[in-house]
Amino acid sequence: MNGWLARAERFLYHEANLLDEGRFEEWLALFGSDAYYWMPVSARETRRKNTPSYIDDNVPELELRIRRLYEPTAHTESPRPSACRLISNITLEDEAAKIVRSKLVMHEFRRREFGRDDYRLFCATVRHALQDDGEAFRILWKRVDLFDSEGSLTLMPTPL
Amino acid sequence: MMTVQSLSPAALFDGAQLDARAYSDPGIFDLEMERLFERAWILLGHECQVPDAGSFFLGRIGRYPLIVVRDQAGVVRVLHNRCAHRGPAVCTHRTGRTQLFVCPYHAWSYELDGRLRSMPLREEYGATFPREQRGLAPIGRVALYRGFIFGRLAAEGPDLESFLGQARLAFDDFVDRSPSGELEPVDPPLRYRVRANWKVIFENLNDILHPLFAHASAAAAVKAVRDVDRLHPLQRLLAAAPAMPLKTFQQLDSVITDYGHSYVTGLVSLAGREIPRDAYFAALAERHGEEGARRVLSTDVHVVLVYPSVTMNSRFQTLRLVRPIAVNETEVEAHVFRLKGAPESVFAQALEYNYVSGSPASPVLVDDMEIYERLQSGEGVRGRLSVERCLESTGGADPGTRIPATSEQYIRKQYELWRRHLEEALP
Repeated sequence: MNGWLARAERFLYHEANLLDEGRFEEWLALFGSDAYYWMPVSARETRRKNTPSYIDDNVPELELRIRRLYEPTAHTESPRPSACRLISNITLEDEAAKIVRSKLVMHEFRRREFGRDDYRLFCATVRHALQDDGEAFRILWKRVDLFDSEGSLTLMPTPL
Repeated sequence: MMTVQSLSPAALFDGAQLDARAYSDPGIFDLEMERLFERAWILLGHECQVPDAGSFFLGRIGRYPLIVVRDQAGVVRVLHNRCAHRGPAVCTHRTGRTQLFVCPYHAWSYELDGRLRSMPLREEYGATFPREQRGLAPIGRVALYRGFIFGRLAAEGPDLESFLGQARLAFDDFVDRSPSGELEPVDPPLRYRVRANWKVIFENLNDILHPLFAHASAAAAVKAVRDVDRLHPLQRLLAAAPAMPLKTFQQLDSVITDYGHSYVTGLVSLAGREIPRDAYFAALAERHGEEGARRVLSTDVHVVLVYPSVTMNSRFQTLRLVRPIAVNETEVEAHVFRLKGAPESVFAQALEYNYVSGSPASPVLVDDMEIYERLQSGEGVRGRLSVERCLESTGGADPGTRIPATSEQYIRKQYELWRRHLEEALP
């Protein structure tokens, strides 16, 4: 399984890179067509659609989210923040279901010509359920639990 | 930084323009907390959140942390979350059940109704110690409307129903939509925080014009999605509003109450108004009769602003508590409720609404949050901002005047009250 986990790690680094570089369409293509992306408020919650969520998107809803980022009228993208995602503590949580658990730290910077520059920090436990055809991975679902999810959060236009 | 000594509320709002320092001056913020938030009825929650003796949740009015608790006799109490001895908060859990509140510092303990029960070294306090005055202090007034719990710090003032006026509609509709007349709480709440003054939220939510511009990116993105049929219907709807001519919005009406609450009527019907004869309708008809169920489900109100504490969306069982943290920081805490006896699909719709309109990651809300923060970025900047749309036609106090939904009269009304309260010291 070590070789498999090393491949999965490379996949997660690749995914983080696509997001950091704003290659959102390529990022979306990593998801299977019936995939979902879930960021619940409560880390204890196990049932989707049973609890308030920050993000609870199927693939077309994820597409809406990223298409908006390309629109000239997307005010949060003017200017677009730059981000640096660090992924660590990667483990295979469920071998049969191919669930990979990782920790994410994301630093975000946004230039504010009219005020203070904006620096923000996000930390999360992330789970990816992966489908593997031996060559490439697809994401079946991705769950993000922010370590401050029960706090009150400022705006999050970009997926983590 | 300017202070309250040099800023007069009267000079900050002249009926047409607002001084930008109303959003940024800490002295003005202090005055708001004392004079506006202490005088107003503030929504804390619903009694379904305290079903039994000992169940409690934490709330806030202005800067005061509070405990909302049902006591042994079944009465809903609102107590200051502050030990009468040395002052720390005695309760730190957002919600729970207890028999006593015990201070972590020196173990003073309090009954559910706030009375002091015991403390160590009782005998050292002597015979004249006024034990009955050393409890968790109750707030000035507590009142319930349709099960919604309101508190007021000041003992004197208008009764709750007069304060709410036509805004009662939000609470009536909320409960009338339940086939059993009962609600169930959902935990945890969904929160967001904006680095901006609290008033901008009350100015934005009934601003019927801004979605066309502020939310243009979400509308355009909906159109760009390939498999649009798999978007949730509430997300598909985002593309609809910007496609409408402005005249459509001018024909809708604003309702503005004496205490600054407001809502727009007719907005919901724009998206089509067919009432399905489904299981939910049948369940509601059992309670209200068919005619009654139709009346409830055709109540056409979107957001009701209950100034200055909460924005209500009864159609999706959602209330949002607006909590000023500092002059440039505001927290919004959304609570969604289940309607007891309604099909699960009704709750699913409420959750989706919460998500689309109230998540800090929502493709809609993020642009509002961005604009709120840009508005705050002129901090300390003097200069006057315009609140003049439909000033000539609807600025007068004539109660018979029709107020189009595009009028900024609801903002002017908020500031009239704001100015009056800030100028007048509490007794």
